[in-house]
Amino acid sequence: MNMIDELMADLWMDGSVPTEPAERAAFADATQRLRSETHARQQQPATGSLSKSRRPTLGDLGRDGRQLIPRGGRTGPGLAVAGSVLVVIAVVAVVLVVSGHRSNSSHVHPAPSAHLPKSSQLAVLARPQTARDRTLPAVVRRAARLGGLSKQETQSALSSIVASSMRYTQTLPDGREVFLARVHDPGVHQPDLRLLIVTPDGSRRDGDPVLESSSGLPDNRIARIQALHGGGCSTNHPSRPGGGLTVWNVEPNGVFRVIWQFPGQPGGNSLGIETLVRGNFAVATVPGLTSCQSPSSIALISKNGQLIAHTKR
Amino acid sequence: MEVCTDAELIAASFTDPDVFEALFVRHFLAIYRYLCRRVGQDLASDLAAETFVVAFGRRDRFSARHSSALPWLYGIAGNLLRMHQRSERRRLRAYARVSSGAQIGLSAGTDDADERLDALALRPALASALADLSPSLREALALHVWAGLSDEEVAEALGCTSGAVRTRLSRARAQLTRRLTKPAKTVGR
Repeated sequence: MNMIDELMADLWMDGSVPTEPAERAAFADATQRLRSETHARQQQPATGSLSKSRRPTLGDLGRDGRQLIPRGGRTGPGLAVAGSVLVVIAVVAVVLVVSGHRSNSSHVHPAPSAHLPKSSQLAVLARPQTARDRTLPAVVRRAARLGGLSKQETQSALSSIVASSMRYTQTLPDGREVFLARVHDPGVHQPDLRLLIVTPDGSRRDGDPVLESSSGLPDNRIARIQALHGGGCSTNHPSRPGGGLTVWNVEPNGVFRVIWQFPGQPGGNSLGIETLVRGNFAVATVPGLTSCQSPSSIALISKNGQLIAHTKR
Repeated sequence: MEVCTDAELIAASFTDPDVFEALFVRHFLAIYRYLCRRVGQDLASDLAAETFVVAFGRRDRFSARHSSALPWLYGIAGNLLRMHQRSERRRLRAYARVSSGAQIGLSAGTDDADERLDALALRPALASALADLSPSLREALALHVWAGLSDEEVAEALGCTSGAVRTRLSRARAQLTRRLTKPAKTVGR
């Protein structure tokens, strides 16, 4: 054996040797993720035999986890139609399965939509991580510094976030940055997929806790980290003209536009708002609303204008 | 009892996707332990799970002429690792910083104590040199040494020829040897 190989084989760093409980936990976590993926795929038609190769489509990952066609790439019209049909079937199934889901978080406002996309339905999680995604710790640290939080408290919150799962989605109109990430709370076996909303200045906003206590921080001042429950809303910053509400929602793959219909104030007309979905995230400002409320109807529209799902309360 | 090859399991998983779990059970720990050596156990857990999720989605691209899926899985894991090269380099440099100067006071009561001391003293420099190695060379060497793959299996994992693997391994060893034979300037960088 080469001397370099021998030296390298003997190079053991911290964390290089997993403990048995760590191995068991990793195995259990991976088993669950694989099973959910397996069952999600079972809802779709078989992809083919071992030797059969398929033309890659937008968003597909290669054998190596890299994207086969870059974003913005072209797909044939026939393929697009077939893809849309599959997306319609999958999304409608997800909407039916998860409708009625409610979050029990005390900090979560009524959601614009009750459907809960599975993580396998969120392309934003499957795409390769970018430099923007990796800004989450820096954004949180900056907010913590401005909010006067100690380094230990900040580190405590950051240590629970699984680094490889961090994905930037959008910036809300009031400057808050929205990320998706898996968060591994102390004492909890499985990491949860969470929406992380970080205020730019670390301040509280509209009475909302800026960091949910379940993240391990004693004081809620940096970021609201809430369970991925399908959406939320908050009143706009008083300094913004027109006031109103900012509403947002996490949408499954294939949804290009969302139309939310709100009942409006007593005696007033109903309000309809249409917004585009970017990074599986839809956000809009609703000027006529003063308090968070669930929409009376939700329509999910695909890129080619097809109605994917329409739910009414 | 007849044991199915990986290729047979993957073929069977097209009609019954649950069969893929047998492949997962067979190879998960090998992939996880390899990833632990590369990036530490915190990140390894997530990446190992992701490796099998990607493998399941792309199993139609596995070539049936390979009986073992392990090199293919290492290839997927390696490509997922590309997004974490900075973490890996940071980890190697942190080890180099912490370990340099921490070698004094080792027990030296055996005959080969000098050799052991030399080897221990070289570890920080080796970690630092590994951090500076190009990703393709480090990948080839890691698969060969830490995953225990042959040249042909490394080639299968990396999607290149075994000749190219031998060249990469040779270059990697030469660069590391050069770095170890002179004072490591980058330790603590």
